[in-house]
Amino acid sequence: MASEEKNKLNAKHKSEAMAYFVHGLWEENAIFRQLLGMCPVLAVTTQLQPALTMGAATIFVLVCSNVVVSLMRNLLQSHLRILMFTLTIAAFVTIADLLLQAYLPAMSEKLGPYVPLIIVNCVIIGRAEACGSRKPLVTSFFDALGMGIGYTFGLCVLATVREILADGMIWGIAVMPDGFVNWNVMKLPAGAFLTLGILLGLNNHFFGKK
Amino acid sequence: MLGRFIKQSWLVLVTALVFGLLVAIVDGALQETIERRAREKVYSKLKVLFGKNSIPEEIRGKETDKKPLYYVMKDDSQALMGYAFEATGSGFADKIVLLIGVDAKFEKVRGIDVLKTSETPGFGDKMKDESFKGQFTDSQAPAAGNKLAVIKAGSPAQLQILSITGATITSEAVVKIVNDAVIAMREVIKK
Repeated sequence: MASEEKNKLNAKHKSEAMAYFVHGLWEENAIFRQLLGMCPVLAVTTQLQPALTMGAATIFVLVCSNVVVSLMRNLLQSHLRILMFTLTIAAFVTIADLLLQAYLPAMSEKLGPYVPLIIVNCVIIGRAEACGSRKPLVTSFFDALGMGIGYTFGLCVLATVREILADGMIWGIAVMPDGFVNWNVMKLPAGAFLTLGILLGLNNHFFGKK
Repeated sequence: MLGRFIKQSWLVLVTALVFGLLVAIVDGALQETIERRAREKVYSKLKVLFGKNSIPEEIRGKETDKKPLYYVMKDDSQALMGYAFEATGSGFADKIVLLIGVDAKFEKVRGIDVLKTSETPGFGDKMKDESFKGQFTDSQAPAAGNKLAVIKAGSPAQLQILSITGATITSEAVVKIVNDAVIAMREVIKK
C-alpha cells in the first residue's frame, strides 16, 4: 500500500540521515580522517575562542549550503554544478561574515581573512558534491550538521592544546601553574603542524583500521 | 541559440539574483550595527591615544559625510589636547587604516593605532606591536621638508623609524601613511 511504502521510505531516509550525521562526527571526521579544510585548522587554532567561532561559522555555511544544494539537486546541470556550489557557498559565507562583523567584531578581526576563505574550505564543497547534490533534504541537513560538528570538534582539540602550551590559558583563563614557560613555537605554523601530526598519529594508532 | 543558452543557464541566473538579493538584505539590515562597532572601536582607541579623560568632537568635511574628517580632542577642562584623524594607504597585502593623534600645535605625533590591516602574520602584522607602533608615540611631527624616514638597522634618531625585520615594505607603507596624512591634515586643520 502507498502509505506503508511511504512509511518505509521515511524510515529509510531517517536512518540514512542519522547514519550520515554520526559518520561526520568521528568515523569520517573531516580533519582527522579525511584531512579536509586544513587551512583554517592551522591558522585559527592558536586559541580556543577563534577556533570555536570559525567552527560555528563553518557549521552555519555547511548546513545552509547543503540544504540549498539538496533543494536544487534535481535541477543541476552536471557541467555547471561546481559553479552552483561555489555560488551558494559564497553567498552564505558573505552573510556569515556580515553577521560576525556586526555581532562578534573582536572575533571577526581576529579571524580576519580566514572568514572569506571559508568559501574554499574543501569540507563544504566536498559535502555538497558527495551528499547535498545526491541525497534528500533531511539527509543532507544531518550530514552537514555532523560534518560541521566533527570539524569544530577537531578545531577545538587542536586549539586547546595550542593555547595551553603557547599561552598557559584556555579561553583566556590561566590554567597552567606560574612557573610554566610558554612554548612560543605553538603560536607559529610549525607548532600547528606538529600538534596536528601528533594528533593524527594518535588517532590512527588507537582508532585506525586494523 | 537564445533558447539553448537560457535552458543551460536559467538556474545560474536565478540563483545569482536570489543570492544577490539575500546578501543585499542582510547587508542593509546589519550596516548600521557594523558602522556603530567601527565607531566604538575608533573611540576606544582615541581614549588610549589621548587618555581616559579626553573628549572627542567630530568635525565633518560636509554635513552629509559618513565619517568625520577629523576629531578635535579636548580634556575635561575644555582645553585643546590635539587632533586625531584616520589615514589610509596601501600596505604590502591590502589597505592599511591608521588612527593618528597629534598635539594641538602639530609639532608632535601623540601616537598611532591600527584600525585595519591584513599584513603577513609574524612580519608586517607586527606593526600592531608596541615595539613598532610605539616609535611614533611622542615623535616629531613630519613636515613638508622634514619627513619621517625608515631605517633598517641601528638606533633611530628623531624623525627616524626602525623598520620591522623582514617587513620593510609594510614599515615604509606605515611611515608613508603617517607622513602624508599629518602633512595634509596640518593644512586642512590650520585654516
